Amino acid sequence: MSSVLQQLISPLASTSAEPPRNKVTVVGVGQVGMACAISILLRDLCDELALVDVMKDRLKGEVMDLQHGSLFLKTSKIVADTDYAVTANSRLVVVTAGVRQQEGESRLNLVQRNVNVFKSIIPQIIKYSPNCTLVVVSNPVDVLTYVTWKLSGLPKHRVIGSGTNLDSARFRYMMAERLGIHASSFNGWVLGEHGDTSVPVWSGANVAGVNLQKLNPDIGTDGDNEQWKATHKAVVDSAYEVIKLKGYTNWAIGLSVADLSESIIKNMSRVHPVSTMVKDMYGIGEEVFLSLPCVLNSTGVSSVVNMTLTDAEVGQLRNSADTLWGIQKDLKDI
Amino acid sequence: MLITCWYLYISARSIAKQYLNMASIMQKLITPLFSGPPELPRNKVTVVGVGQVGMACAVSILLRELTDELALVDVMEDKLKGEMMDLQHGSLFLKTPKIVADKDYSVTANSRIVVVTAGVRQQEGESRLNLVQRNVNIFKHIVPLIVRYSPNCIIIVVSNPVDVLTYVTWKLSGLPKHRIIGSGTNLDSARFRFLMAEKLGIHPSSFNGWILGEHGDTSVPVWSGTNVAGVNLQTLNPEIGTESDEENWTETHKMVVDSAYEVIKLKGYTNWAIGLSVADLTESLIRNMNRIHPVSTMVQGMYGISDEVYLSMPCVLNGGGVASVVNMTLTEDEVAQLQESASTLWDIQKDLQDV
Repeated sequence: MSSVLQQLISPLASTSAEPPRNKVTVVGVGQVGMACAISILLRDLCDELALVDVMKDRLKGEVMDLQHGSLFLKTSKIVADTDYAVTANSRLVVVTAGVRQQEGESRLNLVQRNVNVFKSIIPQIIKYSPNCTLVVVSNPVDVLTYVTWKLSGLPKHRVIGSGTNLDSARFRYMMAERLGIHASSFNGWVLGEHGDTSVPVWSGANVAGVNLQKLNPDIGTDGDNEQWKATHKAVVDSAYEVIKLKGYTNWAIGLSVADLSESIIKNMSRVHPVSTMVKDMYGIGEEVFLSLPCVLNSTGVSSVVNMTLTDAEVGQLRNSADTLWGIQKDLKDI
Repeated sequence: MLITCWYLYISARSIAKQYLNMASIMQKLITPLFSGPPELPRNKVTVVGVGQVGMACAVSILLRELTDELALVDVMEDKLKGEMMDLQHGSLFLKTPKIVADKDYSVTANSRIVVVTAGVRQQEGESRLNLVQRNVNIFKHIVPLIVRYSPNCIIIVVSNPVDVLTYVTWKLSGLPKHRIIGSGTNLDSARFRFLMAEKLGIHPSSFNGWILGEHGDTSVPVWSGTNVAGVNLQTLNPEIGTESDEENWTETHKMVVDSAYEVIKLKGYTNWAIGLSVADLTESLIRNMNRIHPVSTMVQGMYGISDEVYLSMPCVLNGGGVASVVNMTLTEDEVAQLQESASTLWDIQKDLQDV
């Protein structure tokens, strides 16, 4: 009375299953978390994907839906649980969990609420994956990356904020559109604080090595008659605009996180603008996280590219650092 | 007089200088070589409906790099614009250089493939016939517009009840039957292969099994064909799929049928699996691959079915659409199930107005 399985398949190796080599965990199965998950799956980056959240039903529904697509994917193990044991042995953990700003809520209050959420998440992540690299996506990302770093006890090269990776992608897309070329052929970096006060480094903007500022020395200033500055403004506004139109953004951030994940998992040493610990750079004296061009590989942030910035740009970074420290110094319990 | 002349000279010089510097970055940077009209897209895909299913189809198609232009259409203007912008912002990471959207169907012109996910969902207590009639009214507006702007396209219908709506689309489009495909049991089969493979400890792509017929509760798992590496499971266990089977394999098919309801109950809708399965079909069509997929096609004249109904059969898909249908060896019982589905579908279809 042997079963179909016994008749069909004779095991050769009777060892227990191999541990995963490229496991990715996504914390938070909202729209952003799931966009990260599907982008990572469709890029064939991991051999195991784990999802965690507090909302049990939603979590189970999402993992089932992904599993049902297994025929079309190359990630053979997709798991989920509210218990962090499911995340064990992850190489990479993407954190999208957190609360959103309520109307009229101060940034400090939002951050404190998210600190409380992260206090329950981060130690659990580390407990089960002590050697992982963390990518923080939740906003305000620069502060929360600092919080994650403190709560995790990990060395700073293992904690990355998604930072201005998305801002730069939007910038490159919009600038490239104006020039009739593909985004990947336009080189431009948006650094510093993710959001309203990000810094477009106009002096570095180039196509095929041809520096745009040399062609138009007014680029990025108010006096520029081509008004290139408006393009950076459009980048800053675009998140708000998409949120106003469809309620949230997810596809672009999901794709950008998959891009970072690829560099880390494949040990590529590509340079990305991500949020890293910038104390002692550009005269910044506090422990804050800001986006700079970072070389990403399997160690995490292996190095940072030293930019040649104008005095004004350095000034902006220092202002951001002060603002961030102003918030961070009053946070409790980290 | 001299002073006036001097001032005039200075201003003329400054205007000339400004004029020379007024060449834009674009003009200085890039010298066009060719100045004709832009090339038409060769592999354009349109997705109609930007709900969760439509967007999952869109992002799966984008990440599989299947298309050189993606168009989105919907009636909800803000949501449509927001979704288009969000995808465009990811352009750096994609190889689809043109992503457009409009509620006006002219944006869909010259599509090779049109994926239809639009339609209304069943209200509580609503009869299937009523749901279908409401969706017919929507499709009456959508389908002629699709065909007007892409007369040579292949249409993949995803909206439910998919077999009926594929029939409706075929009638409304006036297109030959090989260019209208219903996503049908492609997803059911994918779920089946996943669940069966899990039980055997192998990857779904290594488990061969087909679910055919009507998409949904009355789909037909063809147990006689299930095999791994050519080893037929029914030969190993002749009871497979029957009520008397000790291993209760029929439970797995039941799980397939229930899984959609379960996911909907847990998260409100399903989207990822259907999106991935639609991208899989799209790949066979766009890349002219002649792969075989279980999709809904016009089965009049097959298995003793005399009505014009759509049911899922193993279809060879290529650049022309459904190139051919594989003739299954089915048991009498399986044929009876197909015939019964055909009757049920025809009962609904015959009462539809304006198709």
